[in-house]
Amino acid sequence: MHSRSHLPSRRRGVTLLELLAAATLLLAIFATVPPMLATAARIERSQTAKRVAVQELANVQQRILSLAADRDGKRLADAAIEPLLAVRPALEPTLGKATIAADREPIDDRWERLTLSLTWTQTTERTVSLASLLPRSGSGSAAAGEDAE
Amino acid sequence: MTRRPRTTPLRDGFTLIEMLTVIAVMSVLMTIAAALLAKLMRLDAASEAESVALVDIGEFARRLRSDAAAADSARIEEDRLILSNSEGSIAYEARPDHAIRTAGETAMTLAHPRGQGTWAIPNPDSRRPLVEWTLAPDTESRGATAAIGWQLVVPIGGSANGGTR
Repeated sequence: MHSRSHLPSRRRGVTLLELLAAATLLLAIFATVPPMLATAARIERSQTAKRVAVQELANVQQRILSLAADRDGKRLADAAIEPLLAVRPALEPTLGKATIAADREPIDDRWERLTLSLTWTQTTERTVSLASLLPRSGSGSAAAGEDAE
Repeated sequence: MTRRPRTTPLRDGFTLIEMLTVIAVMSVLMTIAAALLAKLMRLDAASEAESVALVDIGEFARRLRSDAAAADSARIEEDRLILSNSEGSIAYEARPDHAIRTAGETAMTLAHPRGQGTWAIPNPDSRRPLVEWTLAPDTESRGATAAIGWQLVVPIGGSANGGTR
């Protein structure tokens, strides 16, 4: 009768534990990496959209300030500003259906603060704003504000 | 008839089904890994192109703003923007993937993303005229900035310090 110890060691394949450990590791890797890549791509798209939005707002702001300069320091009518509050169609692939809103707040007798806000939807609604000064009445032609490239 | 004695020991091995299973699993894993790697490389290339595009546009915008602020007037001749003041004039010439800025005898190349830039002066009679530079989108470019195009609206005048020459 042969004892068990005299049998040749015949190890075929891997143990169930090894297999489970390897499968768990692989699953963890493939469950983590693709979402991380997707998140990186989403953040990049989001940052691009924000840059584009700020640049577009700066352009609209320059057009409004140019219009205000021709009014001899008199208040610019809302109706004059409204046509300028449009996002270029070329930006639709990046910003989707974006809208620009203008908020005017008096500071003193001569100046008011114009705050331009661009809102777009990218999974969630996002908004960027730029502020500048516009003359309300009397003399004054300069306007100052935040600007961005 | 005598049986031929076995001269070699029994050799451990794998069955065909085991080999096929391993090959199939390895194929799937390598396909996924290759796809991930390709995506990662695309992201990396796009990110690099975007960074370069932004640096180029930033430098271009800085020059243009500075020159426009120092100018008293602007006009467009063919595809050239000419900014003038009492000291002379600076010309910007739009090319498909760059612009040439000429101040006197000195010409320099200002890089920007691939795509044709165009000039416009929408309100030449205004007290605060504007220069519009629009870069047409180039869908073959990798960087998002180039793919969506770009627009800079810059006021003419308004600087007492002068531009950089």
